[in-house]
Amino acid sequence: MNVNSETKFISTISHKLKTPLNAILGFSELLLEQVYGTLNEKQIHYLKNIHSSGENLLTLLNDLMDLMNFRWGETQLNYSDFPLPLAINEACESVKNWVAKKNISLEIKNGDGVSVIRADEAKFMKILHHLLSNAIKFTQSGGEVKISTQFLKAPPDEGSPFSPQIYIEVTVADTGIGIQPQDQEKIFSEFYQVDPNRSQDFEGTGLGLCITRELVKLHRGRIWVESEASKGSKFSFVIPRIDNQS
Amino acid sequence: MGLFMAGAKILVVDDIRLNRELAKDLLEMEGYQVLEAVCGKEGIEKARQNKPDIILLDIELPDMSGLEVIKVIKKDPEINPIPVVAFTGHNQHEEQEKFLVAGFAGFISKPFDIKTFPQMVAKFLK
Repeated sequence: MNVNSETKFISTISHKLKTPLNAILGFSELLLEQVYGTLNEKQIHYLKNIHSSGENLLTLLNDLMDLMNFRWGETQLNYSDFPLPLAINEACESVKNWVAKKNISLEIKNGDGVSVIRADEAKFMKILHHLLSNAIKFTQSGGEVKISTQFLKAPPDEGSPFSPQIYIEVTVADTGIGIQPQDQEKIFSEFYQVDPNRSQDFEGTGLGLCITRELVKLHRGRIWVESEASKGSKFSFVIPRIDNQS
Repeated sequence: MGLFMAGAKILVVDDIRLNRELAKDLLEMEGYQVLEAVCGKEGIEKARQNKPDIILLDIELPDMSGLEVIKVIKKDPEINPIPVVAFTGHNQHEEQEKFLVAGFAGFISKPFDIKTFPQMVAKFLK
C-alpha cells in the first residue's frame, strides 16, 4: 500500500467506526436524560458505563487520526495571533466540571507581560487540553493543578541567522502520582502507559502525550517533564513567540 | 419546545437507520416535523415533494455522495433556497471548508451532542 491509499484506508475505517458510536453515545445519553421514565441507580450506572466507554472509543479514534496525519506529514499549521491568557482561561474552563467533580484546585498564573502569541490556535488549545487532562487524571482528590505561563528571552542558537527571540513557556504542574525517572522519556511514546496494573484506573488512549509532543514539535518547540514519584509532575513546553521563519 | 420555528419541517438524509431515528426523536421532542430519506435519490425526491425548511444531509450515501446531492439541489430553483447542512463524521478542518464551498449552509459532526443538537439545527432555520 502506498501512502495515499493507506491514508484513505485508515481515514475510511475511522469514519466507519465512528458511525455506530453516534447511536451508542446518543441513545445512552438520551436514556440518561430520563425523558422516557425514571431509571434506578443500577440502570443509570450501566448507562454511564456504556456512554463513557463510547466516549473513550471516540477519543481513541480522533487521537489515532491525528497521529496518522503527523506520520504522513499531512498536518499543517494555520498560524494566527491570539492572547495567551485568554487561551489558558478557555482551556481551564473546558475542564472546570471535571476538576470540581474530583475536588482538585486549578490555579492559573500568567507571567508579567504575557500577551498575544502567534501559533495554530486550534492545535495550541489541543496541547493545553492534553496537558491539563493528563494532570487532572493522575491527581487524586484534594490535589492541585497549576498552569503557568511566561515569556523567555533566549539567545539564538550558534550560527543561527536569527536575532535573539522571545519564547513562550507553559508549565502544567500537578500534585499527582508522579513518574519514575526510567519512565519519564517513554511516556511520550505511542501507547505507553506507566504501570499496566494501574492504567485500569486511569483510562486513556495512551496517545495524548505523544500527540502533544508532535504538536509542540510542529511549532518548532520542545516539551519535557520533571517529576518525582508520588510527589507530582511538571510538564513544560516552549515554542517561539513569533514564527520568524514564515 | 422549538426555539424558532415550531413545526418546521426537517428532512434527514442518512443511510444509517439509527442515525435517522436518533435525530428524529430529538427533533420531534422539540416540536419539529421530521421526514426521512435513506439515499441521495430519495432525499432529492422528498425535498422536491415536501419543500422542507432544512435538509440534514449525510456525506457518505450508498448511491451518491453528499457533494453530488447538493449539486443537484443547488441547480433546482424550486429547492435551492433550502439550507442544506452537512451531517458528517468528517471533522477535519480542510474537509469542512470543502463543504462550505460546495454550498452547504454549515455542518453538524457526528457523533453529535444530543443536548445541543436541536439548537444547532435551529441555528440554520431562517
